[in-house]
Amino acid sequence: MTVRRTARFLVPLFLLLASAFPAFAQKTVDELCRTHGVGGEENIRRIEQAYVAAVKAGISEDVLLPFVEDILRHKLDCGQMVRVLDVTTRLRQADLPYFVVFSKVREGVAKEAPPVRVVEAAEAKYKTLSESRDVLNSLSSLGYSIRDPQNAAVLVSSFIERGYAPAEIVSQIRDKGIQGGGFAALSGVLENPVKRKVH
Amino acid sequence: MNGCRKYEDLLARYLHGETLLQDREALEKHLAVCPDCENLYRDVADVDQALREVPGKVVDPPPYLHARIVANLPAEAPPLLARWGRWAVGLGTVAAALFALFLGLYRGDGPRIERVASAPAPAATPQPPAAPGAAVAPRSAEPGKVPFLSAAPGRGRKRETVVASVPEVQVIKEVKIFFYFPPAQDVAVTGDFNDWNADGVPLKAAGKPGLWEIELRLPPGVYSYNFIVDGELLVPDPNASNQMPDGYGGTNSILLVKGESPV
Repeated sequence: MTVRRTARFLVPLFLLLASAFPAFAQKTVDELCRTHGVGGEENIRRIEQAYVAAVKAGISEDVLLPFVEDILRHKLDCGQMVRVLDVTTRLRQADLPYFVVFSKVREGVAKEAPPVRVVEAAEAKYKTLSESRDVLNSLSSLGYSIRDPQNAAVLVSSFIERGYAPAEIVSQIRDKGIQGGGFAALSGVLENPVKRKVH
Repeated sequence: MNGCRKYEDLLARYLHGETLLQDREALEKHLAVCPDCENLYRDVADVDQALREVPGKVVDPPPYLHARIVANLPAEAPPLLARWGRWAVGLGTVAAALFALFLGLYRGDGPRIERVASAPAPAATPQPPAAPGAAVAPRSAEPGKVPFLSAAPGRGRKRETVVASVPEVQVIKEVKIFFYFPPAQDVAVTGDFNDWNADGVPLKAAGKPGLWEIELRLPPGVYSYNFIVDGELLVPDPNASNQMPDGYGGTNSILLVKGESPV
């Protein structure tokens, strides 16, 4: 009787684990580093630490591991890898859209940009996204309700990258509303993410 | 006395209220005229009342009673479902887990986490071409769903239609992009929406020489993109109202898909 009961639980468990094997068969960061020629145990350990920090921050391994493979393929060195992973971790911790950095890095890969430029572009994205968060916080303090903060952050950061100062964006929205003058494009997009202040 | 015998048989039922109406009437008439039966009735009624007033006593069954009853029950084979039920539960659990695993692991190439502005979008699906400048026509992705929530005025280049429905979570819009480049033999578009895939999403000839078009289905957000001409050249969209430096020495076009992502 005991054998049958044990089997009743062990057999399904075995089948479940066997079926889940492909999930465990995914390469590890360590293996990826070695496959793509990252030399030195210390370097691999640093990349792993940065990777673990990103996962702990809440970035899914399902998207992070392929991203790591993409940038390893682009021959970023250990220090550059760590910097990119650190940027994504900080964005996630700040509840900012870290996918923007993923996309920016992959854009650099597609455009065959030098690795150093890729890292700089990623860090520049972090900077503008942080500034956009400050803009959105200012708007919130002015009474504007941000309904879609992630998209709004990307939008505002795109304006910052086009040369608008964060204070200028806040000032124009405050003074002219979201439909003011040169802000036609911004107003067109912000009409949904930013709800008008209710007086 | 023979007549009384019939009423004696009725007495017990009469006391318990179980006699028929005609019997009860007959018995009551008889009791009114027959002192013997009247006395008998009173005696029986007293005994019955006395028995009802005796306090009951709870008697525990002997310990072997249950075992004896069970032992004497006829043997019965358990139904098939009962025999295999526990295995079926186990296997059903495994099947459900496998199905969930299958969905999770093999749902496609896209990431499986929450979508944000620049998250890789669903694979762009080329749609039947429409003439540039054509009126925005409401249409739904699936029958029975809310077809049209808002539409942006097309400037002959893009049109946007909400095709997702309530209460489904994700809002998807159709965005049509045109690209005029007569020298091109082959044009594709790549950008944030497809992780800057080097192959891009191919554009189709729009009917006029040198005019290309594509319809993308994207959630609201801000997307950078470029065209890939003849497999090599990454060029910005000359018709895009928004351009910005790409950080790599080039220029990106900006596609603003209006709307509000579900929060």
